[in-house]
Amino acid sequence: MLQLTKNSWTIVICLSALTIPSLSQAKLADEYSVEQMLGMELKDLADLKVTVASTGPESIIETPAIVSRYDMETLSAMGLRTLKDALSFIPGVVLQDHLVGQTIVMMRGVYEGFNQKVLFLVDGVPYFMPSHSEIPLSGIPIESISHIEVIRGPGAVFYGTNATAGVINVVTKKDTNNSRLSASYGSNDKLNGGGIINHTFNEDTGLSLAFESQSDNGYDARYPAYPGYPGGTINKAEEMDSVLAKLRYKKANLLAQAFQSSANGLGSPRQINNVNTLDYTGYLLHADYGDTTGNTDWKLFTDYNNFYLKYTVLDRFGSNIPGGYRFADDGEQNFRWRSGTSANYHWSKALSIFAGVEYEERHTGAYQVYNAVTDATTAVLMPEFGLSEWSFYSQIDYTLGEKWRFLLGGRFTDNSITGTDSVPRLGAVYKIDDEQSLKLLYSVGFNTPSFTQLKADNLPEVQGNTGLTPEKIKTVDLAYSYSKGNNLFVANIFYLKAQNFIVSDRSTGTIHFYNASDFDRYGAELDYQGVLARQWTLFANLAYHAQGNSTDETDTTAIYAPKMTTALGLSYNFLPRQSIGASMRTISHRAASASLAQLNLDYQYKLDRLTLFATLRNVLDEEILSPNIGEYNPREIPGGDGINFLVGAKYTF
Amino acid sequence: MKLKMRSALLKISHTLLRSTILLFLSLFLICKTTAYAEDQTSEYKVKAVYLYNFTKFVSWPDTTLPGNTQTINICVLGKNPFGSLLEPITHMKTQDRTITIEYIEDIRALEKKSCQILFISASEQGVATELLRKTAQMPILTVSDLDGFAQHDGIIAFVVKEGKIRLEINLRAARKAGLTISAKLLEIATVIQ
Repeated sequence: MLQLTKNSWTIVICLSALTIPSLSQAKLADEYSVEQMLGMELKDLADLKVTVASTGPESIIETPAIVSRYDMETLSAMGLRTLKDALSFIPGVVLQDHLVGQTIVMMRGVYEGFNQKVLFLVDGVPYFMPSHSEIPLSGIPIESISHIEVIRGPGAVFYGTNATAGVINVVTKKDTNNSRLSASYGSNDKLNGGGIINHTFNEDTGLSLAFESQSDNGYDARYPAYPGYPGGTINKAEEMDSVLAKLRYKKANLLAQAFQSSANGLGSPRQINNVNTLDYTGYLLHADYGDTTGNTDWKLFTDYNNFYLKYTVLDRFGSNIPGGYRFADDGEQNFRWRSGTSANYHWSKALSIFAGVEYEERHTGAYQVYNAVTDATTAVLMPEFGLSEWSFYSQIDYTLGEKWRFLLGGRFTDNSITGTDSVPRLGAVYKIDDEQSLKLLYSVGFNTPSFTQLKADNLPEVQGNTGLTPEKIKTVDLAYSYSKGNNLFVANIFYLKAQNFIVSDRSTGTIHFYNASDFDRYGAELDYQGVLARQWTLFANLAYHAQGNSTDETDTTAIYAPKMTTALGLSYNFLPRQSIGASMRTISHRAASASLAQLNLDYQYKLDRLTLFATLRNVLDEEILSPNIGEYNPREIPGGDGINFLVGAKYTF
Repeated sequence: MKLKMRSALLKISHTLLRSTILLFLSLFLICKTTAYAEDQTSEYKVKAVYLYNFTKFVSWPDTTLPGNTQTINICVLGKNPFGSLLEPITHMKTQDRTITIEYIEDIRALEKKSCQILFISASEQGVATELLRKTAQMPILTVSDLDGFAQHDGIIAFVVKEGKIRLEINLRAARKAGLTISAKLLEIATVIQ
């Protein structure tokens, strides 16, 4: 096992920077202001890659992955005005609440309550909690988000652990975008304020500052009765504060983000009068520097991510004494530190070779049980713990003639706890013509067990398992893509094989973690995005999951995955200033929960710099109930209000 | 004592976060507004810059743009897809003339305007054919991103190819309008005769 210190790692980075050569790439229009482009030669202008509607600068038909990309602005006009709503519009993605309040992301039917099986990135930088693998879904100011990119299927070669079911990349706006202030008021006295200020000082320097703050009086969430648990209603609210800052200077980028959020649910022992609050606190600092030398693009990066939770329940000790769980030193020791370098060498127009090396440390302070009245620590649920990890990854990208593109890649990981491992990636893209392609992709993702799964030790409540091995998901995708003008259509079928899937067992009253038997799943996804005559925008997608809602001894989590999800979004600009929009998301029934249909309506009126909007959410007034997938039982958990509204204004400058 | 310190530190971190938000708000309030534009995809940024370049690489007949004319007028007809992306171009000098921008929502108002470049927005699809018929003999550079625009006697069409904005130029329509298009512009365009 590699035993290098931080100092030697720094030397490796510096030496790499000196020895790495580099390349020239297609320039993106997003990176230039109009003023900057005015000085360009005509041929350079004609060579700029642009973002058209919701298709990305790199043509999705050429990308060797199953990717969906949605502009936040476009989704907002369809009544999807939060990051969670936007993500739930992606084919095969379901977001739902855990019993204790956090949001679980399910992709292609794969999920886990406290070790998310999707990797969350902010501008390509991984962001997750080292102790529980939680992700900051309420941590990014909404006005700072340009678009979301979601890879369905493993993305481990580039990103490492957690990218098993998929990868969510939240891409923030450039400093060349406009500045904006926004405020909204909604049902249950939900108040939200936010904004972004962008300033480009000169060609080399730009700054973005964004924030969001939300207060919420909450809605009445009904928990139906479940054997051993009478039904009832509690007030459920979500509040958050977040800030994000970006500084660009020449070829260096700095990113700083911080947030706090609070949600609630039912704490252990899950009785209706035992409400808990779940607070998340986190910040991310990231710096990178990239350049081109000769035929090689290279990059150095480092980031530090502190992220922890605090869980407080009204009756923790059985005698109406509040208490819960917290991390020692107010979470100060809960961090991830990652540094690395990567280079893409362009051997020729047809062949490029990418390679990168990373070092990461993950650490958590002691996870304590505490008495909220006396503030005393009464037990330690998990001791202070940490691990280190080296990774080396590489990929060869070869284009054969006009039609074929091949990928061969892999990632080698040396983890101080789980040992060494490697995962491959293979891909072939056949370009039928300029508008159509076929893709055959194979990739493997892995999930290192979270710290709580490994080290929790507080009987009779929970018992970690140090013998857990990283789970793997091997996926094969076959996709057909069609893109013409502003229309994009992708149809794909997938087959996945899960090995050593980490699940929890609560049947004995104590939470145990174990590696489950291997299982197979397959399904299909359809995704259409189109802008029709510039005035109509239509998005439609469908995901079918053959094993959804089925019982299988070797695949115990399939019963809680829906067999089918659909999403339809439409917006129409009428007259120069107004638009109306609608979105409908459906989830088929699973376990004891009925199917769900959520319809949102939206209206926008633009008055010079001011945009006024009104959104009606859950217009069908569906009672949103989902099975308790975080604890693998069919108890129904509420996940949102009935019909509710949001009105607001945005001022652009 | 230690607990009190932790509690105080937590309070300070919360206060810092709130203060940062307040600071940002203050920045918003005191910051002078810069160029305003609706959030656009980069597609229209590039198209805006092309419109500026057209003023440099297209020549109008002396009868319609005599030497003493002070301005070159770019008109945007219909729903404005540029937001304020054309603002940086406004008042720029080209061919010793100042560029002005006119936004025309109603086709009926077009007759009262003097346009050297007319960008026909996609919202005018229903009237585009009639409009091109009317302006065919006039020294107006018609530009649009409507499908098949150059094939239907529009002079310059913006088309998206492989993620880039490319030009289709109908030379026959340009000649009919009495316009001369520079070879530099033709070099990067697909010419439709």
